Amino acid sequence: MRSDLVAVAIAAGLTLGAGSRSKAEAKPASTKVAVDPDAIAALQKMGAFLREQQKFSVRATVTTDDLLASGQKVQFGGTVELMVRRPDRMRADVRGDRSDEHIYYDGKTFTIFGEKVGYYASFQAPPTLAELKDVTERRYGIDLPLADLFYWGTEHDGTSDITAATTVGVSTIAGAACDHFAFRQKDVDWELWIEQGARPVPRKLVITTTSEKSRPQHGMVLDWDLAPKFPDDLFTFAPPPQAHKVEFDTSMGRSVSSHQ
Amino acid sequence: MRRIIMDRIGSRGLVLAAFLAAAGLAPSAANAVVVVRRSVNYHPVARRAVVTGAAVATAVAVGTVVRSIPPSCTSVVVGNVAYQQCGSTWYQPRYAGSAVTYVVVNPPR
Repeated sequence: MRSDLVAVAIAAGLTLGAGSRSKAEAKPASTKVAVDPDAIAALQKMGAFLREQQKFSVRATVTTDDLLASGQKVQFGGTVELMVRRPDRMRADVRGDRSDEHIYYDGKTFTIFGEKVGYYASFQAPPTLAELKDVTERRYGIDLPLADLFYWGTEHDGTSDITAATTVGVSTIAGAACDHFAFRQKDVDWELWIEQGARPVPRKLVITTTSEKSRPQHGMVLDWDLAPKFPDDLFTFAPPPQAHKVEFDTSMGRSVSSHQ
Repeated sequence: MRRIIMDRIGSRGLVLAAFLAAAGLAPSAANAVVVVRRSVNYHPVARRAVVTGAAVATAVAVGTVVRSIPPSCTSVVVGNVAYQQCGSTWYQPRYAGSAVTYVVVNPPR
């Protein structure tokens, strides 16, 4: 286990800290990358568990790297709160250094609202979350927050893209004992911490973009409530007086400039 | 002026990334990451080449889309449609994916 970890770290060019590996350890016994079936099974079990939940709320504390024009890497932060009541209610609040989005879905209408800019856009939505996802992605270019966590273990998951999967060990995230896994695929290394015990939920995720020289990372720590109490009006958007409705841009191929 | 690194990455589509993207925590978010299957077409703005800089200093062609507008712009509603007026240039805000973008339009008045 230990040697697997070291091999991964070396391959990834990561610095684990002084003394974390000796010369002897630095020689991997084998350079072959392996997909640990236990790690894949853990992903699938997590996905199945998440899909079973009829009602939940999760708060993700997120960090994302970006690059300054100089090439220096800087980190931005934020939170994502996702509240779901199957089959037809969803609310998401995304707040951060560079984001401010609020999503409402009540089985009839889907609305996205930027509180700071004061603009919102809506469309008449399909009656279930399962159908909604397809519409938001294909027609409107909106990915639903955290949605992909829920697809492991279905035919839509990304298992076939995984070129290496390693069980790293046990780790504690916010007081919860978790199994720590590391995965590799084209352009991306990622790590996932899944809670041990009766609730196999993801508690932490770190994604490293390996195709970029600076290896930017995106990370999040997740806090789950699997027995939330939702007020009735949580999922329905009531526009504040100063908010203005705007349209969705579903066109493609327009040029974009930036003032940033 | 930031370089939006993830735009390129994003076009390859990543799975887990999606949730980032979804999260919208970065223009890139979607991209930053990961895993998989998302293909290209989900982030119309992100997919496009980002032209930085100067464009706006002078007249901007109608139809040009930008991610952000100068802080000096004024929010104006004409005929129940929201605009941002920046000197002689008028923008109409819209949602492209989960981000507000601004398209240059002919002055509504």
